[in-house]
Order: sequence, then C-alpha cells, then structure tokens
Amino acid sequence: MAVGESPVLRDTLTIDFGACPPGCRACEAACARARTVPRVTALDLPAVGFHGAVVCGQCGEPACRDACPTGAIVKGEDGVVRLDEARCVGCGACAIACVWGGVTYDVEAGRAAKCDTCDGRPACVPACPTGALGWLETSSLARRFGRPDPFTPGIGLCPGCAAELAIRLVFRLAGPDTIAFGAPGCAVMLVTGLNGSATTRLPCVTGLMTNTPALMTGVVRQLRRQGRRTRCVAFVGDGTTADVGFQSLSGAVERGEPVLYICYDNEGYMNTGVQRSSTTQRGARTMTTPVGRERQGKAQPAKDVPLLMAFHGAPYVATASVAFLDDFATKLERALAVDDGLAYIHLYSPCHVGWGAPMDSAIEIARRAVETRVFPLWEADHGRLRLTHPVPHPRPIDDFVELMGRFQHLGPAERAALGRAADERYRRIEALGAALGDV
Amino acid sequence: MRTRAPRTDGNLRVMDGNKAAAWGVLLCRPDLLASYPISPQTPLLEQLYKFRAEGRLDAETVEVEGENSALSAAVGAVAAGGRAFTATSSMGLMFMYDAYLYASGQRVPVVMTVATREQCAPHTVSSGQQDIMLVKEGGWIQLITESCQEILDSILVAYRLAEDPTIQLPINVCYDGYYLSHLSEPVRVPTQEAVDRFLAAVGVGKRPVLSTDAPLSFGAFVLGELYAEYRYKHCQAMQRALDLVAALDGEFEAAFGRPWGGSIETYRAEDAEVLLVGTGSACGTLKVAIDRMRAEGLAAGLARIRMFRPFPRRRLAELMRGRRAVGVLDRSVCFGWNAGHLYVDVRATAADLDARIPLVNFVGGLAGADLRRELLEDAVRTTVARGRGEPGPEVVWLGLG
Amino acid sequence: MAAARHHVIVGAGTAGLSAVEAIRRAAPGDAVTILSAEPDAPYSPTVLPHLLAGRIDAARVALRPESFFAPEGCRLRLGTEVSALDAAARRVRLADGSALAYDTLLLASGSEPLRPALENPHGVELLGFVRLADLRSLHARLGDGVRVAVLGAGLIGMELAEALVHRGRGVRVTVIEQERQVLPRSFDAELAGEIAALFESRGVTLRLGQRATALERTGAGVALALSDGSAEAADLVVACVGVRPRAGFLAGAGLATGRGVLADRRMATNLPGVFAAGDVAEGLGADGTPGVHPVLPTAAGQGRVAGANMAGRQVEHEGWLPANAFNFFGRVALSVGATEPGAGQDVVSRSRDGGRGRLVFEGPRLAGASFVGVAADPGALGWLIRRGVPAREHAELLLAHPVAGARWLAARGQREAA
Repeated sequence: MAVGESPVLRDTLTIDFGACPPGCRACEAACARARTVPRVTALDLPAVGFHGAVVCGQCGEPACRDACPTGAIVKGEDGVVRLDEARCVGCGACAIACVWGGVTYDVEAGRAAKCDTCDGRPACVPACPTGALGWLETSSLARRFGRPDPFTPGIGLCPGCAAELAIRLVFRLAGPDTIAFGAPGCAVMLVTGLNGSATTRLPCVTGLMTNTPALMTGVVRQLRRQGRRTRCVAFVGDGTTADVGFQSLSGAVERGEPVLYICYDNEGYMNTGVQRSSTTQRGARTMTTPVGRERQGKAQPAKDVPLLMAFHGAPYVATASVAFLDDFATKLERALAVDDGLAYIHLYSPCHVGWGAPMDSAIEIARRAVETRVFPLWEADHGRLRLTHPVPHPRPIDDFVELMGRFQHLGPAERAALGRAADERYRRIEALGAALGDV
Repeated sequence: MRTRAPRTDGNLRVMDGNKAAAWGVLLCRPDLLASYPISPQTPLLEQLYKFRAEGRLDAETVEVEGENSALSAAVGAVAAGGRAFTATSSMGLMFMYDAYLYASGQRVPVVMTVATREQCAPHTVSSGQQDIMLVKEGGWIQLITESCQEILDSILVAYRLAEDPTIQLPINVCYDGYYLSHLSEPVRVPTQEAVDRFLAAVGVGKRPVLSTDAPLSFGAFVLGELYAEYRYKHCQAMQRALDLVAALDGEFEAAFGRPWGGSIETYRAEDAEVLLVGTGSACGTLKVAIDRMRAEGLAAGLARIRMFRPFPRRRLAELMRGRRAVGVLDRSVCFGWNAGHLYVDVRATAADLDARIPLVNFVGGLAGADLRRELLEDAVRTTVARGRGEPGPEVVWLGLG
Repeated sequence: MAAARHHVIVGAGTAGLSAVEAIRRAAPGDAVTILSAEPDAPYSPTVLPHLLAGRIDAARVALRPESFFAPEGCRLRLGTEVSALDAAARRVRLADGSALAYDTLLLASGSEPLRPALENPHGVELLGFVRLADLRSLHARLGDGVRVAVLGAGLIGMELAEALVHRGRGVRVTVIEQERQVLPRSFDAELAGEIAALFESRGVTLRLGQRATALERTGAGVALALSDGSAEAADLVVACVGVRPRAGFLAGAGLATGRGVLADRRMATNLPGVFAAGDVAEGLGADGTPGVHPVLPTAAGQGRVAGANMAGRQVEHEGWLPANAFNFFGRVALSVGATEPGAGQDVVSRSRDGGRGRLVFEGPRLAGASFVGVAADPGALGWLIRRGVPAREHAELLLAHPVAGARWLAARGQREAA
C-alpha cells in the first residue's frame, strides 16, 4: 500500500438501528462467549422504549488509533481496526476519542476492548434473532476499486464523462505490469499525458488511429520474446475501432495477438466535434448527420463491432457499460486472463456533450440503454455466447430517447422503429446465446 | 535463445538483390520480421521465411494485413527493445506513410528495405525511384544502393547507424526494383562472427524502451516549443549521421576487408571537366558511358549519391566545385519543379558554390524504360556541350520523342 | 500537481505523529522530517506508570512500528534538539549548530515538568516523571522499602503513586498536594474524596492542603518541611507539580504565546507556515476559550488538523474538551467537560452499586459528566456535551445506564446529523 493510502474496509457489520426485540441482548452474550467482554453494546432501554445496538464501525481514519499511546490499535489491510490487548495499558484515551460507542472498557481486565469482526465471522450475527444485526460483504466491485489506481487525480476529460471512471477501473484491474495504449480521440491525453507530463505511472503508448493493434503486436511479441508477461491494454474510441483502424484490429484478431483491446463507444467522432461514425445509431443527430427538411439524422444502423469480433474468432468478446461496472469488472478480469488471442471489450460510454444531455446524465443514459435493450450486455467466451444482464421486461424506448437532444427530432413512429431495432438486436444476441451458449 | 549461427563461409555466392537483402537481415539477427507482400520485394520476404523455417533465423514473424501494420508492428518491437525488419515497395510505402512519419518522429531505429518502384497511376509494377522520392522528407535516413553486394553491406551499416545512441533514426535501404531485386550477381557473404563484431546485439539499457521497469510515455502529445525541440534534435541527429557514416566506413573495412563507401561514390571524378550525378543501379551504365566518352576525349566523371537522406550537401558541393557543368540523372519526377527530385537537390547544392555552373537534368528510366548506354552517352555529351556554353533545355527527357 | 514540500515536525509524540499521518493522506509526495529531542524511539509518557508497575513490556511501548518511518521522504532524527526558530528564513537551528529549512513547521514539542518552588539548600535530588529517562533514574534508586514522596496529586502524581503501590516491594508512598483534594482539575471534591479514600486504603499517605516548602538532607534520607510546619521523611522525592509547554527554544522567534504557543482552530500560529499542536499549544476549547489541554485525544486531534492544514487542506479543530479517564486499583473513574457547576449550571447526581455518577447541566444541555466506580462512555458523553444535545430529560437514564444511555443518545443524534 502506498504512503498515505488507508486500507479500505471490505466486509462490515450492519445494524438496523432500533430493530432489536426488547430484553434480548443475545448479541452481547454471543460476543462475550467469543471474545471475553461484549464489544457490541445492546441498547436495551425499556425506560425510553428503545431497543437497539451499537458496535465499532471500523472507521477509515480511526480516532481511537491516533489517541493510543502504545500503538496498540492498528487498522489492518482488511480495513478492520484491531486492538492488541498485550500492548494496551488501559489508559482509556481510545474511549475518550471514540464518539461512536466503538470502544468498550473492560473493567475486570483494566484495558480496552473492541470489535474485530471475529476476523470475518462475527459471532453476534447468527445469534441475532431478528436479523437486526447483519454481515455485509463488500461487493466485488468495491474490492476491485480498492486496488491501486495508476492514474493521477484530476485528469482532463469533459466534466461528467464516464470514460474516466472506466479507465481507472480498467487499469486498476490490469495491475502494475501493464502498458497502456491509446490512439487519437477524447481519452488519449488521459492515457499518455501532454508535453512531458504523464497522467499515469504505467508506461503508455499513443498510436495512430490506423495502427494501434499492430503497434501492440510488435510490443507484445517483443515482450514475450524477453520472457515478460506484461499486459498490453488498449483503450481507444469507436472511430479508431470501427472505422479507420478496423483493418489493423481485424489483422490482430486473426493473428491471435495476446492483447486486450477496449473500445469505448460514444457513437461518434466526439473529439473532433461530434461527427457520425459507423457505430452511431440510426436517427441520431450529429454534425455530419444534421436535421433538416430533407434529412433527419443518421440513415443507417450502427455497425455491430462486438458481434463482428465474436464471429471473427476473438477468444473473448464482451459488451460492457459504464452503468454496470460490476459486470464490466468481471468481464475485464476474464479478458485479462485470456492468453490465446485478442480479448475485445466494447464499452458503452455516453458522450453527454455530443448527445445533447445534461452533465450528470452519462450513467443514467448508459443504464437505460441496457434496460431498453438498445445496448445488450453479453459475452462470448471461446465461442460460448450469453447475455450477462438479461432484460426480460424492457423499458419503453422513450425512457432512453428522452434523455438526449440527439433524438428529439424523431416522431412517435421513428421512435417506435428505434425500439423495434433495439429489440431485434437484443433478440439476435438472445438467439445466438441459445444457439451458441452453454446448454 | 538464439539459434546456432548460420553457416557462412565468407565466400562468394551468386544471388539476386532480394536474396542479398535477406542474407543481410539474417546476419543482423532481428527479433521481429513483419511482412506484407508486394512486388518486387516479395522474394526477399520469402527467403526470410525460408530461413525461419530452416531454423536459421530466430525471429518473431508477423504476417500482417497491410503495410501500415507491417511497419507499425516493427516499430512496436523496436519500442519494446528489439531489432526489427520490414520491407516494402511503391504503393505499400504510400499505404504506411502515417506510420512512416510516426517511426521517424518517435526516433525508432527500425530498418526497412525498399525495392524501388514506380507509383501509380497509371498502374504499373515496373522499376523507378518515384516511391522513395515521395517520402524523402519523412525524416528517415535513406541509403540507395547500386549492386547486390552493396544491398547486403548497407543493411549491416543501416542497423549500426540506426541504433547508434547519437542517431536513433529509422533507415531505408533502397535498391532498384527488378534491376537489382531480380539481378543475380556474385555477393560475398560475411561470416556471422564478423557481423557480430561489427554489430553488437541489441540490448536493453542502450536506449529508453517500453517496460514496466522504467515507465515512459511513447508517442506523447507535444505542443509549441517542446515540439520544436523534438524537430531540432531530429535534424541534428540527421546531420550527425553524415559524419558517422564516414567513421563507420573505416570500421566496416576493418571488419569485412572491403570498404562500404560512405555517402558518395566517385568515379573518374578527379580530373573530370564535367560531373554527372546519379543514384542507384543506373550509375553502372553511366560508368560505362563515361568510360566510352573518355575514350572520345570528353573528361567526364560521376558522383553517385549513396546516402540520399540526409543529403551529403557539403561533400557534393566540393565535388562540383570547378566543374564546367553538372548533369543530373533522375528516375523520378518532381512535379512542382518540372524536373527530377535529385536535380532539385543538386541545384540547391550549387548555391553553395561561388561560381555559377551550368546544370542539366536528365529524366528517364521511368517505369522500367530502358536507360540504354547510348542514351547516357548522349547525356554525357550534352553535359559537356552545356559546359562549353551551348544552349539547351534545362530538363532533358531521355528517350522521349 | 504542486511540487513536493518539506514539513518539519518538532516532537515525535502523539501530536507530531498524527500530523505526519495527516500529511501523508493529503500530500503523499511531500517530505517529512521529525525531530525528537529524546534518544528513544517515539513513545508516549502515558506509558511511564504502566512500565513502572510492570503492566506492560518495555518492548511494546513504541507509538508506531518502525515501518511507519520507513517510507521514502520520511526522516526521523532522534536526539536532535532544536535550539531556535528563524521564521523569516523558514529555518530551525539545531543544537549541533546546523540549520534545517522547512516549508511548514509543526511545534509539537510537548511539555516539561514545572519545578516546585521550595528551598533546597543541600541540593537534594528532585526526580521527575515525564520521560523514559526519569523512569530509568527512578528505577535505579528504587530499592525495597524505599520511602517515596510525591509532590502533587494531579494525574501524573496519582498515577505514579498507584504504580508504586502496584509494584509493591515495601515501597511506602506519601503524596503531598497543596489543594484540599486529589485530582483537583479532574473531579469535584466528593468524587475526589472517594478516590483519595481508595489510595489511603492501599497504604498511600495523603497530605492534602499542604505544600512542601523546603528539603533537607538527613543522613541517608530527606526531610520535607510542609506548609503547616510539619515534616515528612523520605528517601526519594519526585516532583509532579504540573507541566508547562516545552517552548523555551522558541524565545525571540516572534511567536505569540500565552500559557502555550497560541494556535487558531487550524492550529496555525501567528507566524506563516508555523503550526502548533499537543501539549505545547494553547488551542481553543470546544467553548472557544483558549487553553493548554495536555491529554492524548486532544494531541491526536490537534496533530491531525495541523498536518492536514500543513499539507494544504483547510481543516479546523473542533476544540478540546476536558476529559480524563483513570483506573486506580481496578476502580475506574472518568470525567468529561465541566466538573463543577458554573453560573447557570446545576448538578444531578446519583450513587448506585458502590459507584457514583454526577452530571452538570446548563439548562437542558449536558455540560459535564463524571463517574467513579462505574463504567461509562467518555467518548459518547463528550459528543453530547460538544453538540449541546438536550439530555436533561434523560438524566436518570444516563445515571442508571451510563454506557447504553449515552450511546443511545449519541447514536440517535449522530443519525439525525447524518
């Protein structure tokens, strides 16, 4: 852990404050059996009609630790704040410092005592008759976000852009033995910095829009030749992927280069000021598909690059969304484990600027894209294809369309057509899943 | 792990230019070979794959889907600390032009041979030098050879020069398509031991490389004055290459028992009244023409430009000084100047001289058109005549009308 | 990103090390130099009575593990005295004559013992009890059956007395205190009386309302003349009459001082880039009154705030609140906030099961709480006092259930605040 970083609490006790049965105290009894004096306190107060419990919340920056004169209190790598009773002199400074009721003073032993979560198996929880006490395991996503972030704070994307969220997750999961690849596009400065200032402690490469997979080929082949397992991970846009760099990507997939290629799809050339790309959806307004009397938005449907990649033979292909980061993280971990060819992830990352939406809307748009079936979440792992987030009851297409200016010119019939197209896309994946998935 | 050294006896073997190039590459022990077929360089790649299949060449091979990717894969391997090779020609060179500029701007010491060829349109696959002339301002070092022996030798020199810590630039070794690529000549193949002494193994620590041990940003965005610094240092490195080839020539001779030759080869130039300037295999015919004209009493000599980029301006100016006229042979066209590309450079070099010298440009040999000895004898005669004050057009299209 | 700065911390106690942690959180790339006048690895003087009593192993008193000082950019210099501060040049001068430049400076040099005002014509050795060196001196002189006179019945004196009794070996202890009660700044007379009785029951002689006026050597021992004209005989005399901020080296630096180095809520002093925290600082109390408040949680809190501000953040200290906790011979005692009712304040108290509780209220709000012989939660009570939580209606609950009652009120208030 780096200097200044505090361990992140992984799993935690939860208390439904005030939901205890009167006169119970089962938690205290169980705690006392497991750990001498009870460290959970039953607040069984019939005089005021209150029945609840309090216990240490395992603070991020525990005041009890700072006040301890013997260094007896330590916050562990798992986030749990533990008291080494052999070091405790019973001075009570921790009890003065803690305002949360997290420290018990053991009068008999003349020293402090506090909850250590029974090292992840709290005795009080199964003893609780009503479930007022619970044990919450941190989501796998939070565990994943707990890894070191190789990027500096404050990097230069448009305010509200979700690509930063995605890129931090990607390179946290990829780990320190990784080379980051970018190509000209909105996110490229984020990957490679500007004028001698880097934004990441990872080595990084800015390729051309036409050649990033080929550059990765040369790098990864040379690294493997040197006996290194360094990961090569690209984070590039849809113009680079679907259009001008499509050939280079296709070549790398066909040759089976062992790299991870992530396309963040914001459906257009946003860095140059919002022009259509081949992944722009039908009907969308862009600067090259403007709305006028004769033409209204893009006339063609989006190129389905992930499906092309799956049929191209890439060993691992997945779609992902900035609104479903746990799903994204799981896919990243699978993709990072692939070593028999190119792993491809197509990440839906709305551009609120180019799509005519409020600054705080990117995640909501992305969520609704999945929930309206506009962007199905699926993976194809060595030929086995499956929906990872089935949407049996899609929201109406208007829930998606209404969030953005780029579809505002569409009438009811055209919106309905968009909805039907989304449905068809979803059912195509569903049918492929049935045909190609695990039976 | 490297495979055993290939068996080379240092004796003469008969081979064409593509094969000579393949031998040169083999002896330089590249880590990665990236290839896309295009005539007339394809037999070179085939020969390298044959070496690979026989176990003589221990290199990664990347059969890419186009030339842009071929050069890019080679750049990637060099960026990660390796030695890489690729080859192309004509339209293939044009198709990799963005990567071509990327390689030089990023100071990637990759070596790429170009079997020079005419450009379309009109469509043609015939010999010419238009391709390399169109990329001559791309920031690469360009060597143009005259013989199959020189192809092999120039590849050895190219890796030495490219990877020198003071240079760090990509290099083209160019040879005329068909005239050299498919011409068989006796070639002395040096032993691996001799090459290994001349060209050390590429090693980590000699230049910054992509590695998680010491992270760096490769291809970073740069603005303003820092960008100017990149360009300035690039130009400085190009100029240093002119000095370094002179020094390398001595080392080359010590290692292999014959000189490589340096930036300009001269032929009967010492006492020449007029100087012909040319590049590539056509200079062989030009030498014969000069011999014959000498027999007729015309004192002509030749300066063959071997290092075309950076242009050996000072040395050429010295060779031009005091001549009565200079004739330049071009196998390419510079549309903007209504002349050949080499001629434009020679004309610029003439400005370094105190006295004005009559200059004449001969454009010919485009798309494989035969530069017969007679045509070149006429070129020598014309140059002599211009030196005697006879008027005539600045650009003479050989064999046209 | 801002260039890395160099923070110099004078003092390696609780305040200083809490500041180091806060700096690391806010500016991980900054460099920190910690100067400790003491030769020992950083420790808290709180451990001295426990070491003396043998309740803890000397190897287990380090405030932080060695790894705490290992990161790049962190330097701990032990045995390094600061002799002067040149704030204009942003440098401190060290006792060895060298200088050390800083971008920000934290004064966390702690406190030093007050010398009792008494006549000592024979130069009788007066021991102290605030440093490990004092403990070593005491240890070296503590034979079996030795008579020890402790000057002062404050926290340090009483803990020393308790530790000496706990240690046993026939050591006889007399505590001389000029106030008429023990622990005068921590407890009211009634609760203090209970504590005094406890000490006496363990064989400690208490001479309250008395001041030692003179020391004389008498053969192998010492005669102490007391203010009422009586005398006490002893072999060793330990002065525990109080501490004052250790700030002598700052004379002439231009620092504004009162009882300690004056610091605002950011723990900043009047000099640019200079902060103060812990026992040396005169910071603001929870009620806005300035004062020196030499207890651990205050030192930790002030150090955290100072460190964060030194690293460029804007953080304020909530203000110290008087709070003490003791365990004398297995009987616990604690006090938080006001101990005696001031103007407009009144007291609700109760005795129960041999324990006593006492609450001071100001109108509906809790202003102070003390308990002896019964477990209570000083942290939760302190929160109620700081926030002015209207707790009077629950006075009986707080006295009947000192832990659960206070925790319920605090938890309810904390949930409402959130």
